[in-house]
Amino acid sequence: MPKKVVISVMARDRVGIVAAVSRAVYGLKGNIDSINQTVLRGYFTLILAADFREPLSLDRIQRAVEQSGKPGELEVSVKERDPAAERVPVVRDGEPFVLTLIVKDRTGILSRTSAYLASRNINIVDLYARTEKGRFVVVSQLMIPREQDIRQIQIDLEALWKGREVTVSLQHENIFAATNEVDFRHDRLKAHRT
Amino acid sequence: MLRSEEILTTVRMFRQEHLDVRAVTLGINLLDCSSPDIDQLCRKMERKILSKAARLVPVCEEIAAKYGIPIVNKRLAVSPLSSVAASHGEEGMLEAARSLDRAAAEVRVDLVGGFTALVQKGFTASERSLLDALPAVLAETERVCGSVNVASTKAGINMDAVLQMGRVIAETARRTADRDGFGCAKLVVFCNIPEDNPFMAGAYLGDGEPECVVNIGVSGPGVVKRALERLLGAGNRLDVGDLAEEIKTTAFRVTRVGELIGREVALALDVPFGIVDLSLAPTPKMGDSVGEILEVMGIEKIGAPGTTAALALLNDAVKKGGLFASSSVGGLSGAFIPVAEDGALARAAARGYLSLEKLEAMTSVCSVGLDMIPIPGDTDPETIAAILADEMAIGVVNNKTTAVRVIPVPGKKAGQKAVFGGLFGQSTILAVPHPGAARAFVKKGGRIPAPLHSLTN
Repeated sequence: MPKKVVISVMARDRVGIVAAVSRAVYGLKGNIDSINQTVLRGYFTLILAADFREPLSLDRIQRAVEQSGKPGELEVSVKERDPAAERVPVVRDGEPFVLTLIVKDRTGILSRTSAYLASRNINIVDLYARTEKGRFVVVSQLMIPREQDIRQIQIDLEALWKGREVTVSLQHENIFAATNEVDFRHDRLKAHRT
Repeated sequence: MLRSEEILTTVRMFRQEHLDVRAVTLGINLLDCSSPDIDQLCRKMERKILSKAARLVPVCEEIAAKYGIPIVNKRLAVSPLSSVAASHGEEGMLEAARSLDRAAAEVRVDLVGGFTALVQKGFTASERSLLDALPAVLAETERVCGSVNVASTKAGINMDAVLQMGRVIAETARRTADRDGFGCAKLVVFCNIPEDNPFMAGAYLGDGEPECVVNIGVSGPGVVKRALERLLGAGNRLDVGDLAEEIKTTAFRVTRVGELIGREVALALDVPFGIVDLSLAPTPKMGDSVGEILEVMGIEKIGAPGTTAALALLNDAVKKGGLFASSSVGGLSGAFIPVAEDGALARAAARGYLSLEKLEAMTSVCSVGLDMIPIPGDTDPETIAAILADEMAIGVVNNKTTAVRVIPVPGKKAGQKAVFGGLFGQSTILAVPHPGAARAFVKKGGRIPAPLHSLTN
């Protein structure tokens, strides 16, 4: 029975879901190590990593979290955490880039774009997209293997949506950090190169 | 973790507002290339430039792709040729300039600065030769830029050099008459020349600089203009202090981009990073103009009363934002007002709002001086020298860098148009008031003494 787990929760949004879920974890003598939560079109979702003092069955944890909400309200899933997941990067020797893609809306944009990225062994680390005035706007943080040619990826992505008023910009994450974070330090560059 | 709104704002800054890196300038020491044999000297210079700069352009292209930011110009700045080629006379200087031109073409940079002499207190024999060779060098070579420092706050103004440069400018214009005197666009006369300026035509590798160094010039007038427009368009009631705050924030971002790119290039070339120059450098493109910023601030006609105050606000706010962003600021670092290179300034000149006299006043509150100003082709050398002397006096007394890049346009008069092409732009020729009226003064020669540093009331 595991001590380290990852829990995800999905529900119609209301006040008090985080309070309920964290109370359930605390009740099982669990410590929440990290958490990420967001609301999308009125639906709540969170993912959290928790460590328990005593080993517990996955079922028991799942039941406790489910029962913290109203009957049938929370969709909960619990998985044992593999320590390697954090230690071993999904893309070995990659560099962080930010992709922004703005394209005239239609079905299949995300599917084709992400299929292309997967074919290049590019991992999506963070993804946010919304429809805005008939345009689909994607902002995504990617981990791109160092051996990949950035110029080619840019060209390919533009070609993928040619004729649909596409704007693609693919830029190393440092540029966003440097222009937005007051305490950006340039020794970060050296770290990337070692 | 970055927020998507921050990301989208930053992307907009690059995509729609013409933020680019205007110049990556690689400084290379050539003093160790000296030789009593001019052919050997040239061979050594070319070999050294090739070994140090061969990767500059490919590295810049790679880094531009990585960050999605265009690097518009790649350039070289070398040790003053007056020292490198000392003892070779006028003909030797020309030979050395041709050699620099070949090397610059080979490493695919667009310009190379360093045909330079510092004569604020007097001439050496080799500096005289360099000045004598200047018109031929600027007419014959494609990429070589010249700069001559004729004044400093410590030395005062060398009026012999000022007069000589008046003649050099007139002669250079004559030799490039078929291109509206374009040779003069590659020549700057300075007071208090900076050793680490990445911008042309005044870049050179000065004393105290390392063997090799990367200096960066960022542009950004478009970004500043759009930021002010957004702020004003939001319907807020704003005073000028609010405008200054917005300019500071924008200058912060622009400077950070410059330093990041500069450090990346330096790291890839394995040379030290030098400085980022904060100057807002305009281009003739719409939306990339310092003049347009002044218009957004509320100056309807650039050159009207109020222009100098608006420019002073802009220049100061740019510096404050930039200095908070980086501890490696240098070069000229201010707002440029190169008339032919700035669409809105050129328009103001064409409509008669902007005169040489008003531009002179404006240069007392911003970098870098009377820049890219076409004047009538029949302006006599003594009058050109008098224009130089006035601008040098502003630099000497105010302890700042000032410079002059005026272009007499052969065969054309005030009100006609001069066209230089590309980033050098075009402009209506400005009138020079009362030509010849200061001839007796500038022909006296000698040195205007250095000013007081106390009793500065």
